[in-house]
Amino acid sequence: MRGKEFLEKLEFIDPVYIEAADSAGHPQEASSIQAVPNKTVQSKTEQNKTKQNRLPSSAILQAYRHPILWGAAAACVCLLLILTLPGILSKQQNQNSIGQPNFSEQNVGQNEANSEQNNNSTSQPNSPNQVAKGEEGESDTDKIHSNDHQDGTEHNLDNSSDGPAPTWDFTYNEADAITSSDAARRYIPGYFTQELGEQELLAIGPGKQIGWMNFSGFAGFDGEGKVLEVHLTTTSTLPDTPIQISFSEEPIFSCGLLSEEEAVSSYCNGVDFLVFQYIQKNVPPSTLSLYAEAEINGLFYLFQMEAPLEQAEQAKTDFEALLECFTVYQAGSEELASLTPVEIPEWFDRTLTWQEARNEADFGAWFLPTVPDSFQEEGIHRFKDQNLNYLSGLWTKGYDSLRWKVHAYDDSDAARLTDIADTQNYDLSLYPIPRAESVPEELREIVDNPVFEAEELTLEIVYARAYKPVDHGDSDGWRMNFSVRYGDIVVEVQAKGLSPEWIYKQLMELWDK
Amino acid sequence: MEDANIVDLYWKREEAAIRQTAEKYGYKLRMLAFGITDDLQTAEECENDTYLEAWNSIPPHEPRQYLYAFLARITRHLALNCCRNRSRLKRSALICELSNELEQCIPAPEDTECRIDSIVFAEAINVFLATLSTEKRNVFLRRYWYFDSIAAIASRFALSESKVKTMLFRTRNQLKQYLEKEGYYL
Repeated sequence: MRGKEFLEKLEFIDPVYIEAADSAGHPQEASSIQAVPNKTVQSKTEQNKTKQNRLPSSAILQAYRHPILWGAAAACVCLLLILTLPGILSKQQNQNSIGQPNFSEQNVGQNEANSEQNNNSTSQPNSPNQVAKGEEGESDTDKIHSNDHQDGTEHNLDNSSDGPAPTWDFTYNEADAITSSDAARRYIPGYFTQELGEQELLAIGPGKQIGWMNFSGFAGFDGEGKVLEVHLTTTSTLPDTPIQISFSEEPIFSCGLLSEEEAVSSYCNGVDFLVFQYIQKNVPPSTLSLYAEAEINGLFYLFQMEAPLEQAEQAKTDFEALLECFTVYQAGSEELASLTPVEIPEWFDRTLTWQEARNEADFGAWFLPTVPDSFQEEGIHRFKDQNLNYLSGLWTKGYDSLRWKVHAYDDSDAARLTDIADTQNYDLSLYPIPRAESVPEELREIVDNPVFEAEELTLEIVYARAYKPVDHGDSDGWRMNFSVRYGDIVVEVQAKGLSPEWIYKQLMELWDK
Repeated sequence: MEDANIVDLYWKREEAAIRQTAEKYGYKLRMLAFGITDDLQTAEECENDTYLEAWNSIPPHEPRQYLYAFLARITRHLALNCCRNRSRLKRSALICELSNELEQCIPAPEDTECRIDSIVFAEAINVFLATLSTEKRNVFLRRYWYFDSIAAIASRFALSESKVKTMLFRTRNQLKQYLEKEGYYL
């Protein structure tokens, strides 16, 4: 038995348990918000409420649950105060003497004096946390820029000065498994993305940058133009080994499966990171994946990097440097909110009647000319957002159904456009069921849904797409699915229980126009 | 309307049964299908197919005490079928992810054929679930039966995400040990 079969067979679980799991917990706070389509995005008030209810990190949770750790925590706080107090005082002095940091590399010369002054003022011994603030401790060869987002003034710190190496250590927890972070994405009406420009990257980038960092990225917005998340990518010192950073006001789905007892947080510049690694050795080449999660200034961050295992040391060096740079990020959610889209792509999801659909300006002329007898209309939608733009209808009769979808011809259709001479691309009689075993992998997409030129479509081709499976308990009529191209328009047909002649007639009516 | 009354309507072959079912459970069923297929129209299709399947199954079935579980099982089955049959849904990542997680519970080499039938499997898994605490059982089912994300489960049960992951990890290990101990080879 494979995992997929195991997953499917779980349907035999006792209904009592299923009902209990359905009513347990607080579904309103969970699935209805995250998974329900056509629900409006949470209001600001709701988001604030969610934030207030946000759980502490797992490490803190453990502490709560083990009272014996309270004593240790208190001792740590005292120790921390003793260590950091001189540092904080010293830093205040530094800030007075440094002025505002500079983000621009061109201003190196102008600020050399400042840097010198900075180095002089930080020459006294520092506590670990003070060092961690980034004034000292980076590689001599790295040029470090600091960006204080508070007033936009810039200052460059050329840290060629000697100083102790960073005294913090990132502890890499071992992840038992890595899961896909996309799995938890919820449906967001009107969601769209926009590439970030140079100024925007400066505004939301880390408070410090090292010479090898070169950022690009995009922001994701809801249908009203409110920014929801940012995805950044930066180069590292390793070729073709970027580091990805995602952050959002809402918690980001964690993709590492950690053993709770062993999960250790790493503390750097006042930020708690949960850092973990996953080594993949099953499929060559072996790779090392590095991850870090943190909440910084009210934003939730996820850092990811994947590198060849033999370059693990350098990858970790780069990764840690990047984490450190983001701890100097000052602005938090206010900066995120300042991201505004150049334009909000048009989006809507309208329910239409069949007559309205036929009269629809963009795609109505290619919509189903005649509703099949006895079929009941389930829904006709005109949908448009940044990525999708279609008119679609669904009719059913018992187990029989007809889906008719009209959209503009695009690249994905072009990849499935087939010549009628290439029967291997569409003739289902060549591929016995189960087709997962009979259709070659390289033809799977096109055999699944080929696109024919309307002028080439014949009844024989429709029959080549039609089949009657032995499926006890289900409708025994013809089943078929394929697409037809009418110039810049594509009609996609999925039918069960309708004859090839009827489908062909409908498609020809569109062509005759 | 009470579940028993809705089931009565099915037995009387009154079409109001469908309407009452849709009113009471339509939203939850659609949400369940949407969580699996990530496609609104397919989810609606699964919901509608669920009503048809229920119409054809009641009678002879009589799920007066567990109507929602009965319907949800149909919806889940239909939604998984849709994911398998329609590669365009791009939901293979989620299915693969959950399948891989469950694969850790299978005490058999990869090339071993299935040696356990559905009835025995159902008995084994139900006995195992009975050994779990209510919280662990609910978390396990929310993940592998309802296909909830880790974040959604954490929010639902007021747990940290790492706690949920650890709980699932341990439950999977427990399940594997249980199946091995009881001599089930899947």
